[in-house]
Amino acid sequence: MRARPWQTGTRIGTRLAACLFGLTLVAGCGGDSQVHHQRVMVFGTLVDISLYGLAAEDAEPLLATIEDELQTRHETWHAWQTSPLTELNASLNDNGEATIPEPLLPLFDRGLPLARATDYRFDPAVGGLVRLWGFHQEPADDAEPPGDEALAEWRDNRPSVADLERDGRELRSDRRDWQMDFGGVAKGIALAQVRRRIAEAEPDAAIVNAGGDLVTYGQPGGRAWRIGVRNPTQGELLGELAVHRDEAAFTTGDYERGFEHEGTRYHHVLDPRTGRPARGLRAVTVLAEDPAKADAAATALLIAGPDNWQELASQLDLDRVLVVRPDRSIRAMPGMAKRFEASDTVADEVVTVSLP
Amino acid sequence: MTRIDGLILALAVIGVGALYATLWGGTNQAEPRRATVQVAGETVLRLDLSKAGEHQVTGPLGTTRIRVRDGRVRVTASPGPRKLCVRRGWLRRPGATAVCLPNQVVVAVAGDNGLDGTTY
Repeated sequence: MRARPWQTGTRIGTRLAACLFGLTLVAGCGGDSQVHHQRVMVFGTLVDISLYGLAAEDAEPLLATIEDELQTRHETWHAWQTSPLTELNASLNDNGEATIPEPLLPLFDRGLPLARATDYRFDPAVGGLVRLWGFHQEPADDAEPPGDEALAEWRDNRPSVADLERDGRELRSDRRDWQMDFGGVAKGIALAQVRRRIAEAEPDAAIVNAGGDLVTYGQPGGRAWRIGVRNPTQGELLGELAVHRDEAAFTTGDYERGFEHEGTRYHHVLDPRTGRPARGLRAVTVLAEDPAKADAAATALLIAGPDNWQELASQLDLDRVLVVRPDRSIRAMPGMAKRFEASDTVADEVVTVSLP
Repeated sequence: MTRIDGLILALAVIGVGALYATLWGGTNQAEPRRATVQVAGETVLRLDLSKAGEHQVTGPLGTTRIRVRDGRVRVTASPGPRKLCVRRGWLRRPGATAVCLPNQVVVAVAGDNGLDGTTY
């Protein structure tokens, strides 16, 4: 069930008219000569792709390739529908060993070191916990949190990819309860691959936005990309980010997937240490060159919470991080404060924080 | 400077002003906002947000209901289990979207908000 892609208007006529008539007063006309924009439902989300400065005969096959590759990855890396990943989990549980098939290598090559770097706050071994909470499928109307006993049991015998021995493509483990889910890094890995595919076609610039997480290639007409940051408490914008060439912007928030039970909302970003939804931060936005790192870091920093996110960010060598606290105040690291402009309607203060 | 020069200069200034207003004025309050509703990639409805009303479209899972009021638009009901597009609430800002992924419905306020995208 794949959406038919559609082209949107490029406003070339308007831009051209502006350039011709208003050369003396119009700045910034350059660059947008040809924009191919496509919006497809793929990878379990809505993906917006904009390619600048490519001829139609180059742009269209590229867009089709990107869509196909994202769809293939979505199916190959799926943690809950039968996939090479679920087969690998089963093999580890049956035999105590498994060989990583080629299509899963990027998940392990990137996911395992990132898990270690985040002190296992981001940990692909949380699949069992995700299932315990019911977040592996669409939450039912009558969803409720797992009981304290079930969570205590999970914590006492918590699986972690730290327990996985890896030698080349061979994995070994004594555990028999593997349910690996790379959801916290898969989109980042996929978008890095999309960006490499785009680079081969050498457009002037490109941006790919997969359900609110994005990568850029180049810059449109020499200016920075202007990216809105959604306000976690309402539909409008918190402010605007200047995103540079070849960067990634990833946001993790408590406001997307989740359910309500007896007046309390439970969201899907689970802290492996407590077994419960992360608390203390509404949203984290990370800017970094590496999309996989930005992806895992946004999740890990939300889990690290208000007291530990700065320390973890500096441990990860990040300085472009923005967090939104429950009191609606915003904290931005110095590198992010330079890039972020709060919108007028957000009265809350932006505080620049320094490294610990 | 002759009177003709003066006239040309005045016309040029007015022309530039008019061009500026036309090309850079963007979406202001005077201009009625519009929204498009797409199902599986095809635009099936164009809504004038100055006209309050109830609308509905049919996607693969069923009916998605859309309400327009006070220059804003929102999804009021959709068959998706998570109701993310309903929870998205009212949309007013140009470029704002509500996506009912399971039913393949996208409601988008038309216009250029000057942004290249949104992170969330």
